[in-house]
Amino acid sequence: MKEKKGQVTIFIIIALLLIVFGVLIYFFGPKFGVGSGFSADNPQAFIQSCVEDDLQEIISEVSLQGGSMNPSPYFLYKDNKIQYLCYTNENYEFCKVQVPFLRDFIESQISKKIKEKVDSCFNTLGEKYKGKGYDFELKEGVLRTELLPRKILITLPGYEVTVSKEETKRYNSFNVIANTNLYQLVAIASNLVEWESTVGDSNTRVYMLVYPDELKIQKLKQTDDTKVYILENKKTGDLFQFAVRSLAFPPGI
Amino acid sequence: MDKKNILILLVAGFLLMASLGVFVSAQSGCCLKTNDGAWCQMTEQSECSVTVAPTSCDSFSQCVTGTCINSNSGQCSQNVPKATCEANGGIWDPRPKSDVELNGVHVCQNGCCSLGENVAFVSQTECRRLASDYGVESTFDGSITSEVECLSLGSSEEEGACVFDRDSNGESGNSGGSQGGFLSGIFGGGENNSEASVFGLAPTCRRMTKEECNALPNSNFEPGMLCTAPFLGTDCAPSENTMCGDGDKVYFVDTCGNKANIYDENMFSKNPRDWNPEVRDYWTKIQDPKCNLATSPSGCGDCNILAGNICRTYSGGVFGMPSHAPKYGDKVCASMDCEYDGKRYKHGESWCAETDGTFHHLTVDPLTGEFDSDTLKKLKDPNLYNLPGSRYVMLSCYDGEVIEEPCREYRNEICLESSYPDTDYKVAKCVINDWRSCITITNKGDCEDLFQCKWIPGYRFDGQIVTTQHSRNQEEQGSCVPLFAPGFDFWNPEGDGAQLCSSLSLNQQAVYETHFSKSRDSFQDLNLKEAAQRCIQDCYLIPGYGKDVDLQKYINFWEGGDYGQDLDSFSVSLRKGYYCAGQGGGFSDGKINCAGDPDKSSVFPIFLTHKEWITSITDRTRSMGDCGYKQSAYRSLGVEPINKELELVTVMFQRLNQDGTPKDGNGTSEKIYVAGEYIGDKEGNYRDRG
Repeated sequence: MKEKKGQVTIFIIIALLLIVFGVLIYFFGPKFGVGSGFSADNPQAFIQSCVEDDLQEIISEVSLQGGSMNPSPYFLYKDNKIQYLCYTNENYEFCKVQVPFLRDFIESQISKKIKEKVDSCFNTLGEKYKGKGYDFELKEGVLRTELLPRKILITLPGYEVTVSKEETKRYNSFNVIANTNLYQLVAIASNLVEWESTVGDSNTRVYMLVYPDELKIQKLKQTDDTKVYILENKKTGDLFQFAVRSLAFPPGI
Repeated sequence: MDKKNILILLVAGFLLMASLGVFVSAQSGCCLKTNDGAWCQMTEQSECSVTVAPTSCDSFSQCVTGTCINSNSGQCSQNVPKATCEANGGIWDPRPKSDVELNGVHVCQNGCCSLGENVAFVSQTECRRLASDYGVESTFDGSITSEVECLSLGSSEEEGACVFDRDSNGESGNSGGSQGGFLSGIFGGGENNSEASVFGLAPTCRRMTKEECNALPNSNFEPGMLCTAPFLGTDCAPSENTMCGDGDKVYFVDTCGNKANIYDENMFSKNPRDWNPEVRDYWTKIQDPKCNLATSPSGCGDCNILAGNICRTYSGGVFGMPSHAPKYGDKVCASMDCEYDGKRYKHGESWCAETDGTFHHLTVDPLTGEFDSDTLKKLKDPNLYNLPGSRYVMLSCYDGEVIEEPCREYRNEICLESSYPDTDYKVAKCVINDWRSCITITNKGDCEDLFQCKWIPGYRFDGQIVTTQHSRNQEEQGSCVPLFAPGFDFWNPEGDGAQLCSSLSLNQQAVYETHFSKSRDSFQDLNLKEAAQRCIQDCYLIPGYGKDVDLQKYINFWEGGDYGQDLDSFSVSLRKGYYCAGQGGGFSDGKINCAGDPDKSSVFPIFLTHKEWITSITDRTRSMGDCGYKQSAYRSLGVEPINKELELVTVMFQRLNQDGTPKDGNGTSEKIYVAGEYIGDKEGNYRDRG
């Protein structure tokens, strides 16, 4: 009888341990995920996995702020600073383009912001290798961001990881991909800015007729005649918003 | 002896006092970069991060705008200040974008870039960049100058069935599940296909272009064929599944997941006996659909975005969905129309919202761009539309969603709508309300040539009186004012709206004779009819003046003609001096002449009656913007009570000596008219109700 009671107790303890383990996995799963994303043979996968969440966050932030991490000059829209891509503080005048190469600008903004995270991920990678008894050596290179159709590609030319245990291996092809079609929205934004700087307004209708199930463009005219453009890819949920002040009319004369 | 009294009427169309901004005399000019990071703006020195150039930005070499070129990325941008361009590593060129060349190449000109089966309307440099990034060959066609034309070339390459050995290409085989066995039996040799599929022996197939197919080892391309073509002997079989594909049409999908032909409910059956040669052929060759969406809304997948329908997953009872579910699969052509306020609008259609205080659905002729006479007549009433706080809003329907685009604040834009009679398809646009250009125009013809202006006979903005001895000259004697009264930020002490309204106030004197024994210091003591009859200057200022007169006859009388009856009983001047300059005394017999001396004729007054005067000045004031008293505005905005003295007429009496000099001090100012009502005028005696 006692033995049976003991067995029951053991089963209960095992069951409780399983539950606790399950709960831990549930709450800390993603962290374990990163850890488990490490494979000594595939440091590239680790870097992708380590950087991608931060990259998505940066892309979102940049997209909502007109492509800039620190918008200047900016328009405050719903407590969010939005970069003026084209601006004039005068009335009855066309705006002057403030960010001439929008795509390049966004690429550089993302590069600056993600660099720290990339470095941190390489450090973590080193620790992972060392934790598994490897010698780890990192040669730093440069970080490049490219906005491309349907994706943003971070390439790390010159980055080289050398790991040694029983044998020495070199890895020098690292990149991080974010799935977003910001490229398309930025191209449209550049066109809209060109309209604004030449005629003081834009025709958003044509884009929504050509890409009706994909694009939604809102042009929200503010009290000081600033226009806040919100470009949305309905299929992917990507957003890009920016501000313009061009050919403004005051109240009165 | 009669004494002369002057009736002074102070007319204030708007009494908000403008607080004039103090002009700060500080150095200002073109600032290369402002404290808040903006390039090339006109600012004060205190707002500029560098020394301002004491000139306009157009004249400041660093701020002249031109085309900015990034020779590495191929990006070009117009209207970029020189300094901004160079700070961003660009090459600045004063020429417009279309004319810019680098090394003999029109670097900024977009063309059609073909990248495998994709196309993009980009510059040549960008085309090369994309090709390099995607590892594909590219061709650039600079002769294509429109994005739409470029996009239409995207899918021009012929597709077909690419049959290949699954193992040699790492394919996982049949993805279609259980239906493969059943349907493949319909096509001769299907049993074998099915078995082959199970055991992984039969070749598989993908629908693609020849170029793509040739890239696969051991592949065979059959142009124009579907992977379900029986003679190919692949493991792909017809299925009832559907998908949304190119052109947002509904397509059948085969069991390998390949897009087949456009969905047609008559081109599939679960019963093998229904598979006639036509149906078999539909699953053999790539071909156009035979169905008609108009007659078979849920049975035909031939959606057409231009016609306003698109492939969607069916959801019963939802607006835009066909009334019946599709017979096969779950995709249908759904309408992209919108429903708004109980009305149906087509995809791409736009219209003006019915916002408070605006003219709803301002409709113009699509060909002439003009308002119809009824609309114009209504618009001319400044009390009904374009009220303070109102704003025009344009609405558009795209893909089932209504998108709101507010026109510019302060009614600097209005929403115009056109409706095409044959289709009832509406197109709306926010159009600039260029009301500022109205107020510089000084004649009726030019004024009414501008759709945003209207002419109000009466005073001129420049104060000139251009009436003649023979005519009131209403073509020039008047003001050109906005047809759509603009809004002002009258709460802003630095705004000029209040000042503009105040500038419409005026101060004028009517002179009439009265007996010295009569009380002459209060409006209540005044006999208006008597004052009117004994008036000799600007008599229309007297309330009720000319209220009972026949206007046409009175004009005739002014011109020296016969009124047709004795004027003694009317509220008009009976003094010869009013009509004949420099002549005194009265007249009788309903006719006045100036003793045959045209030089003695007085010029026509601007107004013949008091009603003309009060109507003209209130209309002019109310039309100029958020000026005057607009009862409808406050009612519609729910703002009550409001200060009615925004529109006010006051009078003050002054006795004169015979020589016209003031006899003694001014009387007390009295309000006689407030916001459309004459004080104490319970029976409407002052007003001309004619």
